[in-house]
Amino acid sequence: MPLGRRLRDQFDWPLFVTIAAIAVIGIVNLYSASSIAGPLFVDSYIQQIYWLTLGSAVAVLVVAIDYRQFERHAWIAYGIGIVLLVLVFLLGREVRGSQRWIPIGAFSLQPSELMKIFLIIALAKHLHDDPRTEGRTVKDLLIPGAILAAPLVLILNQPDLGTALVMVMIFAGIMFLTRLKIRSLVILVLFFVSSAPLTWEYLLKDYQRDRVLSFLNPERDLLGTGWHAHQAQVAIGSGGFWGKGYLQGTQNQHRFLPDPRTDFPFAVWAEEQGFIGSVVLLFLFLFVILWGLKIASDAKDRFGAVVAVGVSSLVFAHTVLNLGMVCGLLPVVGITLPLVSYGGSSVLTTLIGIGLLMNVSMRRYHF
Amino acid sequence: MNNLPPRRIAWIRLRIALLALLLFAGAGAVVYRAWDLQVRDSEELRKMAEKQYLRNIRLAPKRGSIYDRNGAEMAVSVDVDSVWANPLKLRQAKWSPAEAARRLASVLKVDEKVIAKRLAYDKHFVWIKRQVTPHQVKQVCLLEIPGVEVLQEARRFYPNRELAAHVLGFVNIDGVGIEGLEFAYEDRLHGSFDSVPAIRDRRGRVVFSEQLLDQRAAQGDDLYLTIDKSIQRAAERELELTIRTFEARAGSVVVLDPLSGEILAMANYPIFNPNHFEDYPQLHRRNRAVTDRFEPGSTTKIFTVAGALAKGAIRPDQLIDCEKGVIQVAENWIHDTRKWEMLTPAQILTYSSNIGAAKIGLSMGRASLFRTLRRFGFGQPSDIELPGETSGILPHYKRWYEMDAATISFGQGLSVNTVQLALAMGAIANRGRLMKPILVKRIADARGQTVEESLPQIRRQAVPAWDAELIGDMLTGVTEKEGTAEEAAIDDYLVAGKTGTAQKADYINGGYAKDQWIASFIGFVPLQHPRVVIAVVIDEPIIAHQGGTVAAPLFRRLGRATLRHLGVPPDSSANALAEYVRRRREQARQSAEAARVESGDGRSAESAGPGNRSERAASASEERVIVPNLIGKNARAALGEIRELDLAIRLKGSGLVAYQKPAGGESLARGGTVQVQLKPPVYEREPSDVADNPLESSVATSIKDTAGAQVNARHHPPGTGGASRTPISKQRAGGRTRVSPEREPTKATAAGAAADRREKRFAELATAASRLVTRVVKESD
Repeated sequence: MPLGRRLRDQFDWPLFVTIAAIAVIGIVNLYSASSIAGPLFVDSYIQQIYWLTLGSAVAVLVVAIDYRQFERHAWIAYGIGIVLLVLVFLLGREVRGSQRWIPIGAFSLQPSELMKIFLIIALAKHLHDDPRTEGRTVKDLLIPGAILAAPLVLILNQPDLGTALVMVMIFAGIMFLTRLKIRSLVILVLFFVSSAPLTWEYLLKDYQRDRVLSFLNPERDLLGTGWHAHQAQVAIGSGGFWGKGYLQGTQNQHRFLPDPRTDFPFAVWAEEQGFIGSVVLLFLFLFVILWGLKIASDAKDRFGAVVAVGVSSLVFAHTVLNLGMVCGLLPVVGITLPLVSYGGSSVLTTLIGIGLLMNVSMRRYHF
Repeated sequence: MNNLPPRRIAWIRLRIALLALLLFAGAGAVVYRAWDLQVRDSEELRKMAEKQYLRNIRLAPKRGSIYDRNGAEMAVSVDVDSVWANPLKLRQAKWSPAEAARRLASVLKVDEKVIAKRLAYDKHFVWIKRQVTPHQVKQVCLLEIPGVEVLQEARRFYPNRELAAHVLGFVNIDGVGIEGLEFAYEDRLHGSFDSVPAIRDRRGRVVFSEQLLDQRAAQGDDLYLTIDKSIQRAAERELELTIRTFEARAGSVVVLDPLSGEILAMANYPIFNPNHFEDYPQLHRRNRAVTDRFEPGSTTKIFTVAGALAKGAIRPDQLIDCEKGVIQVAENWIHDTRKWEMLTPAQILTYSSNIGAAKIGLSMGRASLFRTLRRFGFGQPSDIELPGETSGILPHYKRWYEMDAATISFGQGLSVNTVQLALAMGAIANRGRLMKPILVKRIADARGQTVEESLPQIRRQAVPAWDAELIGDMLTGVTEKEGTAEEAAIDDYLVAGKTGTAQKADYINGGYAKDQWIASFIGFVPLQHPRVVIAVVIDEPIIAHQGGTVAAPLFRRLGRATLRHLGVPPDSSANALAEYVRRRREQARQSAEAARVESGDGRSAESAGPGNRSERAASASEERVIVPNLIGKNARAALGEIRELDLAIRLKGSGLVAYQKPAGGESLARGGTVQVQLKPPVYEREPSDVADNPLESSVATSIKDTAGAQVNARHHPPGTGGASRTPISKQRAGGRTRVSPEREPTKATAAGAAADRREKRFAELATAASRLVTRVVKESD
């Protein structure tokens, strides 16, 4: 069936409208967040529009190609992702103590972002090729575990705890969908719990441990590591039920709020739009995730279903981790809020993911 | 997956539902948390936010400036740097307070131990040193001590140093006024931060939010004083000179515009520099003109005589027996410096006879004397806008001893401050009206909009206008040859004034100190249209102690400078006028003698003048003469012609005769009065036209910077050089110019002797109208 008719008949309008709404909110909010920034950043929202345009073009491309083509080339994509991650260590430049970027001309590519998508595709490919219906044992989890572990190790070495966490959550989400034996589940949980102290001791960097400690005891160092979280909560809370009004947020406008463009845009939004605004934005994200799960359950094959669940998990991970961090429910981890945070790689990854969702959604029927 | 068995699908759906549930749990947690923060704890967090961006309000909004009447800066606030530190940050950077203090002390010249102690506090903010120089700031920055930072504070700066320091006062290091106008107008100058909070960003800079686009709203208001910087400078210079010359202890000078009550200058000695007020003892910082009271002495006689005249207790031509220099009242003796015999009230003032004044005082009665002095403002605060005014002491007459009525008449047993004295003299100059003193002319907000303006306010009519004018006439005698203050005379102007030489009360031994004096002089000038009252009080001069010797020369020099600065035209006919006044006094004396002859008072017969003269005066009253036409003649010629005919003349204005009453050709009883209105010659010259400024040539240029002066300058045609005039005085000058009926009488001159009745009627109307205008202008000034 040609794309034109498919577009007309099967285009997923609810998904599109919701994503468009989030993107518009993102730009409007970014304008406020960057209005006080130095001259270097005042045009952030314009940049964001460029990125959204580019991302939409890529998403259209992604939608146009039948997702079974992705299934066919899943391993190649995964391989490219791994290579890029390795390249980061060879070519990457260091920003704020971690190596995450490969400079390409005027732009910088963040392979760990793309890797999330490749991971979803690779996991989907693996599960698709192994259409077991009985419960999986721990042994059966070894291959998917390896698929996760390869990029995870590389990313943790950058170090980029946030992205690693997102990948683990994507993995968990997908694996939750496949059938596990109760025993495997217990073993898995036990494994994570027992690895926690080791992770604490060896995997986490000093500053990350600091953040977790600050989270557990915010008064510990209010002016240092606790500052970000504290300021974000003050900003959100001072917004009240109805908010202070657009461009009227004192905490943002007077630069009390740290990183308002990348990590804490939600605090800007919540301060200026109040509880009402926060809930509206939250429900938009919730809708996207739920809609993604609906797409998964309607998907015509296992690959599609797993991809849909993976993308939903991706959005879910970002949203919950970011909002949790901003609200003070979780320690501070640098994770973006999809389409609301400023940043090209994040926007591209999100839109590619949404493109995949749309792809699965539009090809859910057999013909 | 539709190809799977239904049970499988159900399983998958269940798991998806479970996942969704997990999702809802996450979302629910976020919503719950948002609710927590934004609704439940919102109030608390909002306060926290406010504390952040509204914190450290220590830095007040910009304090208003103080300007003189021409807009010259008297007190301004400038931003200077202050060094502070965050001890916690210092500690975090693992610096020892002692080490940091040692380095800071070497640069800032502060006590190392004090700084070390402060840096050891468990605080986020301590001052290191406030208001430092740019060079010191640079050095502090070079030290690179963590947590030590610089912020900007407003510092009060008095560009004219000692000038008017006592009037302006000063502020403490936190910018709070603690003396003078800075104290009195603290609320206005300080601005408000209750209604308009200063919002700060993380770095402490004021960044007012959008609602407060106009940050000037928070600034303090500006004061525009009535003080004229040039006159003030002249007053201070002359005062210092006098005090140095006569080796006096202290002194004050007040220059007052009698018509409006505006204080043009208020000088005190010793002086201090408000920029470094802490370097001066309290003694230097006192505004003596307001806070110190003293026994006024002979200057009180003016008011005693005025009161007696107003009450009708004496007539202006009455002769009073001065008992050859000594009388006894109750058990005390009152002495005069010379053995006067029969004196008119004018002579009593001229020679400053204590006995004469005492007799006049006694003749009017205690209650009347008390009320008169009260009416002139003695014994009650003048309500000048300065803090700490003494009201002086005027005991109630029911508590007076018998002697008191006599001594108070010539100024012993009561006390006043210099401002009160100047205001009382102002009432004599201003046709009997006691004005409220004005020191702050206008209060303007930071946008330059006037928010408050002080208009002249009459406190009361102290004595009827006629009596006040009469006293003014009498007081010109003081500055003439036989008067006590020949030194106060100013060339080309008629001066009315009075000296005072009072022994200071001896508070230790009782009575009066032998060799401690207060020499004073109060006077106004010019006689006919008074522009300035000057009160001079010199405390404990040593070289000489007579008011006429010590204080009068100061009056002369300051008066001359002030008149030239204000552009008051010289009385072109001053000599003639002096002649006229002398004649009037002579006449009064003659008629007094005539009265004595009629009443057959034999005792003073010997001292009376030649009898034939009084006879002539008596017989002359029946004879009628034809009044000559004086239109177009100058004052001297007019006086000559009138004198020939034994008529009196009352001159108004200066220049050529424009109008006379009765008109030429009409008849008048011999000894009657011809009223003459003079008008400046045709080459119309504005009184404010003074090409060069005698006091300060830079005045005109310096004030052009201020908005008010620019407006003023715009009203002036270019080249008039009158830009230094303030609107109010210009208005008055304009009013004065308007007063004389100009055009019509010029025609009348052309018409010559054949003045036709219609024109005369018109001129009469014009004069009446102009009088009305004069009055209105005076009252509304």
